[in-house]
Amino acid sequence: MLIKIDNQTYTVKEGSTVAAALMSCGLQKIRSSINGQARLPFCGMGICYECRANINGVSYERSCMVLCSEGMEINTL
Amino acid sequence: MNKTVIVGAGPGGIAAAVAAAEKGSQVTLIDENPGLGGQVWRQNLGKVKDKNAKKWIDRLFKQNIKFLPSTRVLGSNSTSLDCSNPEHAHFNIDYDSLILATGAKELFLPFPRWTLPNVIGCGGAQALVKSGLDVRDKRIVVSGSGPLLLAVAYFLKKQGAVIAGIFEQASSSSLNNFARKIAFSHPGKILQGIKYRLGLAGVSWKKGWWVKKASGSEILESLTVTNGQKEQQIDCDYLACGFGLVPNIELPIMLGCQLDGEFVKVDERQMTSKQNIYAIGELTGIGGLDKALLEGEIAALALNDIGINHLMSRKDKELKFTEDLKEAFQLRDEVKHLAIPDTIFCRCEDVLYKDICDLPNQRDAKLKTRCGMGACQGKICSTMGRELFGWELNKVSYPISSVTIDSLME
Repeated sequence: MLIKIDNQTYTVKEGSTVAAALMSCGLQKIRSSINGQARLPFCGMGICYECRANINGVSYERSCMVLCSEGMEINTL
Repeated sequence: MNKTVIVGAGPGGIAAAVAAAEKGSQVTLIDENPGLGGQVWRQNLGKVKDKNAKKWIDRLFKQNIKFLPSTRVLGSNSTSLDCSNPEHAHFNIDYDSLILATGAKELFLPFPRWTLPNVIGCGGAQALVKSGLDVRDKRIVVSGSGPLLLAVAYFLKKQGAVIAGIFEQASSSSLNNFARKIAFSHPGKILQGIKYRLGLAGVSWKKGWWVKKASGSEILESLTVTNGQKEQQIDCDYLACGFGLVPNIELPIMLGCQLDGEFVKVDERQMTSKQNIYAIGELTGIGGLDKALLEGEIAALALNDIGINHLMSRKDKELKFTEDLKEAFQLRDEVKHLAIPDTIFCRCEDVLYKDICDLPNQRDAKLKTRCGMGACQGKICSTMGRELFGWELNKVSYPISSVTIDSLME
């Protein structure tokens, strides 16, 4: 399955959540904390909001709660 | 027909849904995740692997149950839930009876650099791997406390990871006591533990040890572990760390259900202080899968006015297990004092430990530092504050989970 992360195309496993896909694609940061530190998914189950990203135009989506779909466009914050 | 709505599609919610539907209720099962199973039965890239889970999910599909995935509860009153999902930004679900099965989250405790990328939860690691994170040949340390550590280490190894060590803060004698206590009541759990241990042959499993700090420039590179006397340095790609589980009680609090400590108070029918609202599983005490399945069934029978006496001896056994579990994995003081002044306490607002550790309560922490006022609304840091400083439970206000303004206006 193909998705776009920050305008680059990646192949990801069918059934992946966006959070797992972003990590598997080797991203070292999904969002910057308010003091500029890099953050990646932390709780993995929709509690901590560390994995939030813009998914298909919707900001602040918890990427661990959303499944990847063909052609999905994800922008990190 | 009794309109029964169940919030949470983990094992407890599934068992409640099956039993209620089999007894004639009209059941709606909702969950904020895209799939069935909750955490313990989380599907592996859309596939149910666990035999027991398969059996229950098959039973679920035989019934005429309405399942609403990716659906969040924003608020509620005594007859209706206010929900949001990708199809309908804002809608109501009416109920005669409500069963709360919202499960638990992990307890985290702050230690130096715990916010480094690739430091993740213990159950969180399992969730992410089941959701597609590739950990083949990655070096992973598993630490914290509770039976989950061994289960997660076993799972990660099976997925191709190299387990660089398991560090359980509870002492060896505490674990041995626990095993002795549950050996007769729960032999299956002992056998499962043995299976995990055998599967982890050659992996170091240290009791009375914990992670003291994480290091790395941009991303996790190594950990310092200790038993309070000795220290050891371990290089790794991921740390999977959790200190046990705490119930997700936002919705019961909003509904006005009475609490017993941090758990929802229920009677023997699983009924809360509210007449038509029931609570099951981790919400009433951290006891794991068997307790959740049983309590789901009890609630479903009780709300259909069917006798539950035949299930009470099993219930007693599960409540005893819940007590034993709590006692065995009590947190030692050292793991509550790992943070240094510059350790981040509130991850959302980057509030430092030194900025809140001397404040008298959470209200002061919020007003002076914005601690707990970020995106997660204190779900991580307030829970730590309760554990470390005895902060009171957070008040819950509408909406329980953050939504766009547009969806509220619909």
